[in-house]
Amino acid sequence: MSANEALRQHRGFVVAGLGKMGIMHASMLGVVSGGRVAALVDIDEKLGRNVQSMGVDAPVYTDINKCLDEIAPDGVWITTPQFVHRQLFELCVSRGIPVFCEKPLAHTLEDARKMAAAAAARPELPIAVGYMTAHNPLFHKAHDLVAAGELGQACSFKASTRLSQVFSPMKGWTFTKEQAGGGVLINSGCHLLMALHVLFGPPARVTVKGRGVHNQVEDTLGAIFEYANGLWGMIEITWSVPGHELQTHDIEVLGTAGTIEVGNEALRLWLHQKTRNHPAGWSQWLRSRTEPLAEFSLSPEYCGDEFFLEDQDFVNAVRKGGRPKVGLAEAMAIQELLEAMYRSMAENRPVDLASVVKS
Amino acid sequence: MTLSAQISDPAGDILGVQLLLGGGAVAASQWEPLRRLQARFQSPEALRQALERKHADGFKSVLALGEPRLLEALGRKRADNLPVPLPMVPNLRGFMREAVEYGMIGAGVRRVWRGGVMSLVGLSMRGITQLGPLKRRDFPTFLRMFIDLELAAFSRFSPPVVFLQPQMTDLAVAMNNPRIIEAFQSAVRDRTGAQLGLVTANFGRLAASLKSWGFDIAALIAPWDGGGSRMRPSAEACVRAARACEFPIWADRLGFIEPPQPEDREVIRQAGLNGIVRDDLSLWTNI
Repeated sequence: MSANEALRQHRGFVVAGLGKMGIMHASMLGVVSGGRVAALVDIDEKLGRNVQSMGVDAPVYTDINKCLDEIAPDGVWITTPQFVHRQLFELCVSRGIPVFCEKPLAHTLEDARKMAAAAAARPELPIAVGYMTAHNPLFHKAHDLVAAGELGQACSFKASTRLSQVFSPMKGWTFTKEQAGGGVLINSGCHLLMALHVLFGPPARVTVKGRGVHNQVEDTLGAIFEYANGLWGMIEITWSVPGHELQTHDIEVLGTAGTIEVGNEALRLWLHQKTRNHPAGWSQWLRSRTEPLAEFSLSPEYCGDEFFLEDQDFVNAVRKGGRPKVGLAEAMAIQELLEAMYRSMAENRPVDLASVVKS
Repeated sequence: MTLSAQISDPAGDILGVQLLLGGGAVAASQWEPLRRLQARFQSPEALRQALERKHADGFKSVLALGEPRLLEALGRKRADNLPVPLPMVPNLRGFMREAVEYGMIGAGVRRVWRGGVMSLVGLSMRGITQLGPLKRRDFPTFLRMFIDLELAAFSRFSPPVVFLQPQMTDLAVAMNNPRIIEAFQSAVRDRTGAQLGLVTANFGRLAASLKSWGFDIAALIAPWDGGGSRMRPSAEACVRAARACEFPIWADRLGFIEPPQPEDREVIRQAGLNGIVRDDLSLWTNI
């Protein structure tokens, strides 16, 4: 059987939830190798018709059960608001359907744990979670530099997520604790948490202060992370500052031998003295010149490569076997960290991550 | 006079102002100088003076998003001492900001209402035949309407070419949906009579699509630089596509805030490109 014949026999993928992320993934499925949209699902049929008219040649369903019965897809992209993730996730997994779930995994730790339990019962299923920063090779390169001791001993870091989006009271589910699970931390800052997870793994203790500036959920927060090896870091996450039309994630690590600055677009290493691998002074790696790069991008100014790569990665896992690069283990680590941070914020005290993991 | 001669400076370039208006992503180390410039040129008067200087430096045109501050700076009609604005539509940044709060369709409806009475009257007269598609939430019909509304603010400048914003161009490519380009073409022809330009981040695939779609494209902007970064799907494919194109192409140095280097110019010259969309900080620091 030729590759084209094999592709024709594929049933294709379902995109469930047709907001901006659903549209983005549906578009990407038109260009990733082995991708094809077989059906669209949303409770609002008009949204489905809207996406069809963008060029998606696939039927629209308002009932996901009916869709899964009739299409029997190769996989489902869950791109709804996070308070709906669990319901759709459990349904798909119970039917043996691979899932790509947008970040965060859920709006509560309780929901996330139930999702993880459901997936544990079907360990053969590819499950991916849409933390696209983990597909950015610069953060992995930064990890490798730290792990190889290029910085000497990593002592401290400061990290930030900044976005210019919220300057007045906002409407919509994104800004409600009940539906989103929080504000800027869970909606935007979780990408930074994943980048820090790639660099350093989970912290031992978190201390967080946050507040709503314009909304009931937190619009801005500051945090201190402490790690078992003595590393500590200061974190700022806000969507209420000017000058960041596009979301930025930046980390600066200070070590005994130098510093690392890493963000979406560039990684810079500064060394006091040369090492076996790098000269004294600055070394730089640009995202636009660091593999893997995407052959297609819908948003080159903000993580366009990563959106393509995460979708291709999931399609490959479904088509060829293997585990997606960012799965439930990584997503659960972030979910537990989010819970610890929200507890710290609510109870106004440091929280040990171990206490959340055990709870 | 060719379109290229009408809109290019002596080096073949077009002026860009996205960084100055607050768009674009820069590294943390560049926040401070960029913020200083944005604060310095935040008033329409200061922006107008800066544009006058750039016109005196030789820039004949400026790639323009429909941002109110820029439109105010450009004045009530085309001025001899300012670069002519080349609209890039639709202004998706503003739209996506509202989509977070109101959803995709809600944001669209709000934008239509904000268009103002006269625009809405004109729109409804033209759109009376479009009620069916609008009711069906037909995306190309919505897109045409948004572009129409935005071009209302630009028609006083008689722009020689209007560019389709890259995410819309590339959505058409990803979905293999020429109706998106048709909607753009229809709005531009009805509202301005300008020629059609496209901005893309995926030139290789777009070039292949254009061959089968058959639109009369007059100008194109695509990522291009000496290192071949962001030239998708590959630098080689983009070079091949450029050699086969009959319309002028400008290099978008997306993500670069330094001025183009001689090697960038050489790569662009060898590929037969017209010039560069200059949107680097050095343009403004020497004013």
